[in-house]
Amino acid sequence: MSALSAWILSILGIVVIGAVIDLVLPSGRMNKYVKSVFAAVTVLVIILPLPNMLKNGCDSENFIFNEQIQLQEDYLGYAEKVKRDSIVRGLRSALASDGITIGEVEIVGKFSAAVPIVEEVRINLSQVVISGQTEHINKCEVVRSKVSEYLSIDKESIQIYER
Amino acid sequence: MKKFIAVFAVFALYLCMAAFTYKEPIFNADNSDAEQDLADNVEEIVDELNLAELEAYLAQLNDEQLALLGGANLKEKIKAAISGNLSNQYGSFLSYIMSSIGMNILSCLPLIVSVILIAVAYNLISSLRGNFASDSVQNIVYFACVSLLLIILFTKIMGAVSTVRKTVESLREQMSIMFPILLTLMTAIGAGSSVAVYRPGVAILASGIAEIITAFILPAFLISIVLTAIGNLTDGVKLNKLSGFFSGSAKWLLGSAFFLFSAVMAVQGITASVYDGVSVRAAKFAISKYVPVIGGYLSDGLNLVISGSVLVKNSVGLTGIVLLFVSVLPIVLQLVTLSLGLRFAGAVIEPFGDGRMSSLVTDLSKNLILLVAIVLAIAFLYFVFLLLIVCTGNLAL
Repeated sequence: MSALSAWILSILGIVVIGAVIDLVLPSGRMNKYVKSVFAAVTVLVIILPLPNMLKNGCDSENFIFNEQIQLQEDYLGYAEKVKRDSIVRGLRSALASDGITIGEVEIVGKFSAAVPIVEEVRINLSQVVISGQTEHINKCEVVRSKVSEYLSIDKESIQIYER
Repeated sequence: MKKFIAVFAVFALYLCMAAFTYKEPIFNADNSDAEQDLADNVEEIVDELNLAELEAYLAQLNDEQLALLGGANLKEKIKAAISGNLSNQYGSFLSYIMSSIGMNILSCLPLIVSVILIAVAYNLISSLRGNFASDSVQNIVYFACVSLLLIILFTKIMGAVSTVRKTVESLREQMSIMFPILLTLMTAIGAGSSVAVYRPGVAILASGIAEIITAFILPAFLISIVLTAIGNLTDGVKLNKLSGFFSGSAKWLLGSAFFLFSAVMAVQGITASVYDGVSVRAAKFAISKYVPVIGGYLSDGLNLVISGSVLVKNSVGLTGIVLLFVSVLPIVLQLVTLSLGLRFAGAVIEPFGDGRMSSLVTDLSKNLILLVAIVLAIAFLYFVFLLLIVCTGNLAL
């Protein structure tokens, strides 16, 4: 910007000097020659700083991508939590219809996409209650197969622990 | 002219697409529970969203602008807009425009009167001189009068340039506040493709286009008006063609950047938004139909996030559009009034003097149109972006 101001000021200066010389010089043949020389000087003053001004151009890296758009991660976390909670609610309800009440459940997956992808489910077996069951059953296997069926995931992705 | 036709063709194409994808809302007879759920959901979303920066920006506005926006409390405004209580601000808008025009005309009047008085004074001095003074004296008088005229005009024009620079910076700040909120809401909706398209677009608009304006177009404008003034100052040096070159270069640069950016973003944005809308709809359908029991719950959860986020996004986008108009309109009116005022002054002083003074004032007023074009171009790009974002994701509902 300073180079630009200097350039404009130099043009203004040379033109003002030219105007003053024009006023002072007597009319005649000499006036014509002085005017021609002066026009050449003006052209030089306009053209000479241009190569330097063009050389000091801008850096394209900083020019285009110096603005970063940061998304609000807290809100995205909230949206993912709503989706995760709805899956947990659905799972609890589905298992309840089979007489299974579960306690602590943790669901791991990708919830940012339009369709959430469940990758892993962790269930605390000590809080699982299966009602209306008189025979001896493998509680762990029953829960695993039901959760696998409802969430459409592999049985290996379901971790059941006791604490 | 061709560029403008092309831009409007793209815009019309976009509007046609929006019209085709618009879905008529279905009103049920008894939906009070659903409405209450939605209102609670929206309230939760608005509370979760970080709107502090936007509220701080709104707090800087003056009372008149805040009245047009419907107050400084953004969260209340969003909730009111979502519940359908959109206040009718057309009357306030019209009175705001009219008062802006009146204020600008009043502020331009001293300038117009000064220009006319200087021209009349020069004419009087030239007439009274008769045969007593030489042509050199006449030239000195002209030189003095034009110098005085230039000092007055340049004070006003530099003020206008500084206003344009501030407006570009202000729009840049608005974009850097508004777009992260809107893009976050779009990501939550599941419009990933659109966000991928808009994110670099927003970065280019907020930094690149604004930088082109402040680094190239405004300096080119300054060079152009200085050369116009110098060219008209004396008969010895003719610089009008050089001035025309700078002015033309600035116009071409602005026009090309404007056209390329708006065309590319509009086409990509429309394609991505349609793709996102269809994929989210398909996902919702697949979940509710093919995932047993849990599908219904998951679909409800998705609806909760999507419908709430879409409503909040549209409401924030609407606030952004009103904010854009409120900040740009007075500047455009000020520049147009100044340009027309100078043109009027140039027309009035034409019968006085030798016409050089009149052509100087008229040329400067013509150059001022570039400043109007700069403000309108960046405002239009921002407006198109906001409009695209507001319309994106609605198809998912």
